[in-house]
Amino acid sequence: MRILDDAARRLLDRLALHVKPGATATRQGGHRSPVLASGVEFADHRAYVPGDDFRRIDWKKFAANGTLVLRQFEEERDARIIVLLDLSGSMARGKPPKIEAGKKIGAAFAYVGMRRFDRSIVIPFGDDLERESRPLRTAGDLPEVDRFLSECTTGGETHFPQAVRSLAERWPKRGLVVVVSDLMKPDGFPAAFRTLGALGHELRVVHLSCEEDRHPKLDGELELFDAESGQTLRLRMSKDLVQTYTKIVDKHVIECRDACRRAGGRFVEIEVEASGEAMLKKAFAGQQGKRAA
Amino acid sequence: MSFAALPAGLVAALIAGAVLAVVLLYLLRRTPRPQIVSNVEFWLKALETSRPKWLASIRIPLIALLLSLLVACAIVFLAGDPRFGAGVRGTTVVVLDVGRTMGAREDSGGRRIDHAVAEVRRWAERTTITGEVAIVRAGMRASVLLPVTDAASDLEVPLAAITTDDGPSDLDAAMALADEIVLARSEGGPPVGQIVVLTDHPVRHATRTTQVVLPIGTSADTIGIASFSARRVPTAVGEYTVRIAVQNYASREGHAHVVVRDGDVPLLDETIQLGGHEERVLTAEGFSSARAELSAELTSLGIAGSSDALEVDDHAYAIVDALEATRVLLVTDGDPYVEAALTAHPGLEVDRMGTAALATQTTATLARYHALVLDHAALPAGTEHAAVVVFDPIDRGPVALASTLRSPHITGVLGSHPVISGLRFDSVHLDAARAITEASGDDVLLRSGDRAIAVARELPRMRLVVFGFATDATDLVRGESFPLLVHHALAWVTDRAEPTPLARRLGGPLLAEAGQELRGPDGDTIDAPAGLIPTVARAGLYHVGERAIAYGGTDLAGPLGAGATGGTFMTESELPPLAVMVAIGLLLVMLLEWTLLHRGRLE
Repeated sequence: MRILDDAARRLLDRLALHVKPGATATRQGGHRSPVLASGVEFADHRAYVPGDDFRRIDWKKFAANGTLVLRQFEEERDARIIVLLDLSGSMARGKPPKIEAGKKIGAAFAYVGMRRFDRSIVIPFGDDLERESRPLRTAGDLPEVDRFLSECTTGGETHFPQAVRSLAERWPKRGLVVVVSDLMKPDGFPAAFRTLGALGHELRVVHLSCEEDRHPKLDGELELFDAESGQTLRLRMSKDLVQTYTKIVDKHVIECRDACRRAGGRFVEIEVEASGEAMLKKAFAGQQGKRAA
Repeated sequence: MSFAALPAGLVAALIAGAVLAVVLLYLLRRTPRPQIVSNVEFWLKALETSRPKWLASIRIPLIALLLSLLVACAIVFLAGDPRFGAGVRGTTVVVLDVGRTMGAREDSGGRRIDHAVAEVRRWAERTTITGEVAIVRAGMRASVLLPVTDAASDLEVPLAAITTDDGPSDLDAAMALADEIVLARSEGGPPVGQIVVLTDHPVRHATRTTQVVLPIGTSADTIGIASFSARRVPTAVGEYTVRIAVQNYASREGHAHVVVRDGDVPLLDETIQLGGHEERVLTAEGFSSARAELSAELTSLGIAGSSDALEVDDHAYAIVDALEATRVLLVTDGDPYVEAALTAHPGLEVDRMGTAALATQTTATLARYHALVLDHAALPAGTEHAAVVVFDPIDRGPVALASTLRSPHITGVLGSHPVISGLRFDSVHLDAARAITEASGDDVLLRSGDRAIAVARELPRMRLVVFGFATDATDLVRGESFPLLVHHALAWVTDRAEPTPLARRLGGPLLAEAGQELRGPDGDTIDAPAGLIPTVARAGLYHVGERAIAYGGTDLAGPLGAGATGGTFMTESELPPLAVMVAIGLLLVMLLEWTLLHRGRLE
């Protein structure tokens, strides 16, 4: 089963990921890095220090000024794209289920990274990190992504802070962390976002929401079942209660968004009822072009 | 539609059913639908945030359940209990009070009895749907007005002719009669039915059958005749005095026009003002030796801020019997003075007899006379009479005689005795007189020295006055005082005091002899079986042959009560029973709520 159809791949082929230099990896790649070395793009001159490579002395400057200076170039490196896909039980809610949109967006980020020869890793999480995919570097690994994501099923609770801790242990090096989640947990997400920022990752949060989460149409005497924990709550639905619930969820999403932005990341809200193309465009908003500014 | 007075077991079953229905509706309303949500913690927060501050509001569903149960139970009780007008089962006996106060007028204009009759009709229509009805007339004598029937139309004839009695109702007897009817219809089992009592008096009689007391009447004021009597004046032949007491039973002042008539002749016609609770006594005089049929009437009654509600106490009746002559037998061989004195008296009927003829008389033949006047004569041996006046006694007479006194002087007079009261004897001359031997208890009327010449003796069965001198031996007979002396002596010996002719009390019997015509207050002939009216319930003047008898209820006069207490008073309504309306309304509300809450599931 192909998660990304041809139309989606054609759209994604025109997109590129912009990774901050601080979040690049060590291998040579297509992203600007803070390291000044033997790159292509000229960056600056510096005074010669005994021991430097003679080949990098700018002899024209020596002829003009009589001082030995070295030419410095920006080194382009690859990036590690880590897609954290929420597989908790709540991702199965919505029409269509949020997990379907999540898989598509996760695959899209991985695909765009692979297209730029970055190392893309898809890591599902629930109450902790699940088994991740192998690092994927080329577009030819896309079937591997499809196969991996097809095997992912929803269930269990969400404990994102624990997942972040596990990520820090297993993948200590910095990269672009794309969190695809419905954020349907009142606590943990904002703190985890701040943690990710503190770890030096470039953060990108894709919030998936469905109509049922945003504006539930419920009334009467109800017994609510938690899709993740199975916890039940018996209540009599009323208009005031629904409004209060909506306010609380909106406030929670705003808190997550603010935490993400404070961590230097980007926050994108996507409604699962939207079309696949619209979702992808929104997820990669600002990334159009071969190389984003 | 009507609900029956259901047995306790059935009522309990209905309550159980109603409770079950309410609980089922409550559970249906309270049964939650399962709903999966992404995370209930957000809902929990929302619930905590929007939780009402008022503690009771979160208990509203439970309170609503309890209220619904309460209302359902109340409806069943309301439907099953006949005391609330929902209908009856078995035999319903209506006890209708027709006592004198039931004729009182209400502020609404109608009489109490009219309201009671309307209630009787309403109850009869209701009870004959599921049961049967009988009516007991609680008058001065309890009687069955309508036997047990299951047709409400049977009531019309007896109710149309119903009238109130002028006397008090015997409510206890009526209740007992009603209880007997219900028990008899229950055929030995527990009483199945009820006794509905419509009265303006408290009900204190206990019955085995359930009682439903419907109080009739409101507080009202009245002015009435509290007493009405007449009697002849003892000292004036042919005259009589009428006494009437008018009482204002209201707390505010009033006025009344009092008219007392002897037949058609007015004796008193006067308007009086009465303060609050004031009683005024009026008197009038009449003169007639014939029988006087007296009636008193209050007209033009008025009470400040109110009105006279009761009419029956505005009339009273009395009889003054005809003056009966005193029959006197004069035994003399020719005494013109005594005969002349007796003839001069208009109230005497005198027969004359010689002393020789007296010997042939017996006690029985002498008994037809009220008094005997013996002039130098004595009763034959073996005869006696209760009243005897003797002039010039002889030795065989009733008193012992002593020597003959010549030209005695009257030296002592017992002026306080009724025989010689008001008469003077200081100039009376006597030629001769026989001294009378005093006996114990004798009153010496005239005395000459220490000798008695006139005595009055009172024995257990006889009164005797003896004058010890002959009429031709004194100049007393020539004076004007002699007829008075004779009259006083006769009045004392006969002792015929006029009884006060009070009216008979209502409720007693009236018996006519065979062949005597019995006529009522209106003059109509009453066809009484065996000439007997067991209970006279209407005040007025009755005539039995030539005799007139007054029946009155002045001793029953009093303030008007405000009606009985207890029970419920059913108001006229064309709507279905309240219980049915409440039940339907409640059911609709609960169904509407259930539909609104579960409209999705109803699809």
